[in-house]
Amino acid sequence: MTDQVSRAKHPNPPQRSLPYLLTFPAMIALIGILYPFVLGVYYTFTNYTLTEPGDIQWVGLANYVEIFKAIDFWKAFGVTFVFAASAVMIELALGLGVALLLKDAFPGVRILRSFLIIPMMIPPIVSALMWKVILLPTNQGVLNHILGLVGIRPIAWLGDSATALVSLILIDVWIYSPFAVLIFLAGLQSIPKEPYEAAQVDGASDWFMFRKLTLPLLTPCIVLVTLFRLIDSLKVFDIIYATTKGGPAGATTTLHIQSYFEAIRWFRMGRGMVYLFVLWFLCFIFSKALSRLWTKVLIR
Amino acid sequence: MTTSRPFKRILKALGLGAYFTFALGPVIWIAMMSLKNPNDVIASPPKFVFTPTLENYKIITVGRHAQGVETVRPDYPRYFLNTLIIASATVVVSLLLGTFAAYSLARFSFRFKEDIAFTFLSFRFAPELMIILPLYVVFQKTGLIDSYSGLTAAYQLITLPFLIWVLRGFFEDIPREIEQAARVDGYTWWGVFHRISLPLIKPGIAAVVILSFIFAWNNFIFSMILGGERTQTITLGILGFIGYERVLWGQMAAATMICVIPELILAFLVQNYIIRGLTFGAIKG
Amino acid sequence: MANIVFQNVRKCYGDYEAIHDLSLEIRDREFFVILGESGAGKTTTLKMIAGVEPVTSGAILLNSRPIQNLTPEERDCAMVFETYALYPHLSVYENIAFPLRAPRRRIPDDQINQTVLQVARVLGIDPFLDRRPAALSGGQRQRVALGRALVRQPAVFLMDEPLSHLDARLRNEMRTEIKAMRESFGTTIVYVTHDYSEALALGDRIAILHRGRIEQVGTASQIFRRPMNRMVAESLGDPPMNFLKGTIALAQNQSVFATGNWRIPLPENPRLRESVGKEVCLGLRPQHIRLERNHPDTPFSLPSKLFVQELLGDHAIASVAVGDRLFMALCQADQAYSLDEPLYLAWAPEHMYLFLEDTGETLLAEGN
Repeated sequence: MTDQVSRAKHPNPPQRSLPYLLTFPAMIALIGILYPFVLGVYYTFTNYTLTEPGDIQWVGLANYVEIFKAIDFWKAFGVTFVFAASAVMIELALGLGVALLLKDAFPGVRILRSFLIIPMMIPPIVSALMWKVILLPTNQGVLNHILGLVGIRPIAWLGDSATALVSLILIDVWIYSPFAVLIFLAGLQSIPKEPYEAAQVDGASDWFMFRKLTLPLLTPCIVLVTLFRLIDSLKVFDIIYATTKGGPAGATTTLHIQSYFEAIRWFRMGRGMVYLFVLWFLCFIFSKALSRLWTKVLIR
Repeated sequence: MTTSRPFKRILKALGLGAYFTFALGPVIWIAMMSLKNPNDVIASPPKFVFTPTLENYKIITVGRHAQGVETVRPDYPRYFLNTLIIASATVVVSLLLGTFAAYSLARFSFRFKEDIAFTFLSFRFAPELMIILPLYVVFQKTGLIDSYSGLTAAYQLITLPFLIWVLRGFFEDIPREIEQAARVDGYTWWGVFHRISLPLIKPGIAAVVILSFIFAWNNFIFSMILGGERTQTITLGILGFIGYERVLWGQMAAATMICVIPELILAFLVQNYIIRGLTFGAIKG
Repeated sequence: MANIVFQNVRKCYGDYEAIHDLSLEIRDREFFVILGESGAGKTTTLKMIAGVEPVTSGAILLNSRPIQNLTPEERDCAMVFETYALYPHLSVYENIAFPLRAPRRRIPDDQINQTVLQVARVLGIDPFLDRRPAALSGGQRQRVALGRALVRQPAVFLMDEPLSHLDARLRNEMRTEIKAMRESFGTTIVYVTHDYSEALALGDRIAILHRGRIEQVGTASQIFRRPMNRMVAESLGDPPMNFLKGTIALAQNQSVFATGNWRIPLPENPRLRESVGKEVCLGLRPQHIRLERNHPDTPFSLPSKLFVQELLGDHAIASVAVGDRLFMALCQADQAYSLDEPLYLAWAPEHMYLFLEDTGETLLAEGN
């Protein structure tokens, strides 16, 4: 039939292979990243030590068993979670609060909004160093000095295991709460006015409107902020490395930091990769779950 | 909403004042520190009023001060340059690789398309060391440690998924019929791509390029593990001002300002696209 | 020469079959109109000719050459899109010049300039040549889209509802202009619309497309007066044809249309004889119905009651209740009826249509 004739004349239209050709270079990059990943997973099952690179032996689940039995692992696990959960919740609350303050127009609001991006654009490690200066333990530190003006004695923010994690959470909030503010601002500005006008006519209070209208309509924003901030704070590194390096006494040692010590300080690559794999797995399931939630919430 | 009474207005102002003092205070403090002489810098209690000096800036850019004031890092300009080279190279490579991939994901349908797209996205959510540590071993064996090409390749993990994902969104925003019209008018896919599609997303490309540059510039962990003396970047350089015996706060502050000011200028340029950039295109803004 | 043939063309989007087994011939120099409601598949069909939508199976021939595997730029078509699809970043001049600048054509710049200016002058858009599309009105943009197509002298012009986004007056103006242009160019035109009066006014032949299938192809007169099925009859005419359900019965050895207590004689016709007992639909066009206050002296009538009358200046539309259905009839503007007034519908037998209820097939049409 004519169909076969036409196919004979143009056996393989060049368009079919084009998409693969175009993505090919990026695919190389993909493989370039997947290969180390797979290698890393492989290392978790070995006793690979960087000081004896030639002598790699398969040890099966030995690393996993050893690490899961150690209290240090669970302490790091706990620190990771406490840090992430606290940071996310504070950033959500603060982000929403500031966004509510910024959503209405007033002279200078535009400039204020543009200042928001400043903390986010500075390299996190540099921001952490800045805060290290501000959080200096004695009266030398600006924060202690200011607190001293109202009669609070100087606190060793980063040096005291009771306050170290709190200080780090503070730094994370400083850097990333503007992210939440910007997202919530965008969300608030896209909420239509009509439901509010109708509610006001019906005599609803501010708090009622907030609870029943604003919050539900902001659910996609809440999910989005949680997605990015939860994962990023689970795998935080720069902030901790610049300030406490996991101390004092493991008070700020997260899974990511601990993996660094295991692999780079103590050359125990196999064990280090186990910490990382656990952390990766946590990040993976949370990111998948939250992404799915995001698409679901968006459709509504 | 309800009319704001003066009381509410005052509360609002206080709230905003408190937050922005919190947000901008530290930056201002460091800026002040960069202008203090060595004695003022370590004054306890901290000085808010002082005579400013550009000494710190001079020291770190020019090298050892004539009068022998010590500086830990005489090579600060070199670190600045390294960061500039690596960040620029990274972005250029990502552009070359990623633009085509983004267009392909936006316009064509092919098997495994969404799997590939999701895999790119998933790198954003992976702990960096998970990739960097094995990569360290690979680089050791292939001699890529402390090399510009090695770092540029490794830095792709930071910029490529981001660039692909956001540019994909921009390409998808172009109405299909415009590209179809260009095909019917007699242009091949390549003609349409560089005469119609690319020009139409120029502002988007500019924003993504600037943001990618900032992300690459801000990176610490890649440079620390995969870099070395030769390719040391500015983020590592600043860390180096904290020695074991003494910390050169003033110089560190000046170094911070030099690192940060160019980025802030760039960031202001893209503030209209920043939400789209930071959320990987999830929110168009 | 530009003769287009569709051979058993199918188009699927995943599991959804948009176009089923389409076979069609469009003759050289013909102004061919595809008429259908939204979602019928008209734009898809047009885009398959242009090549921007691939064919799932089947063949499309241009001058007996199969083109369904050619890329759009290799086919010799020009298209005016429904959304105009102008290039936002180019000026009007550059938009029109764009097709001529395609590398494959190798047209020298001064020739491009000449052609563009000529086309712009003809369409009346030369004052806007350096503006961007965003700075133009809807009508102006539509002309630029037309200009971009005209500048090329292709084998086929494809037009996708070019007038649907214009206001009524502009639409009529442009319709006349398109018809005039057609006379001077003489190129094959495939024109897609959902507006039936546009179709009847412009088309040499019209194809009715409904849910991916061609219902009928013919001249305006053919499809209007002799529709092949109820769907075609229903889609042409404003107000649309009136329908009344009933059956074919035999009364004194003559076939009649029976509904309720009413019997209307049907002409002698072997088809009708065959269909005795079947459920059918009587069709009457509003313009063929006479309204009478007194019982008309003809078996071709039905009693009714006035429901509502719309006065439209030079004529009026009366909606009357026939049994439980509403019929619309055109009447004189000065004939005012009162609510619930009993009226009789009367018509001439040659204006009677009859359709099978189950298949929609036409049993009787104009002139019977």
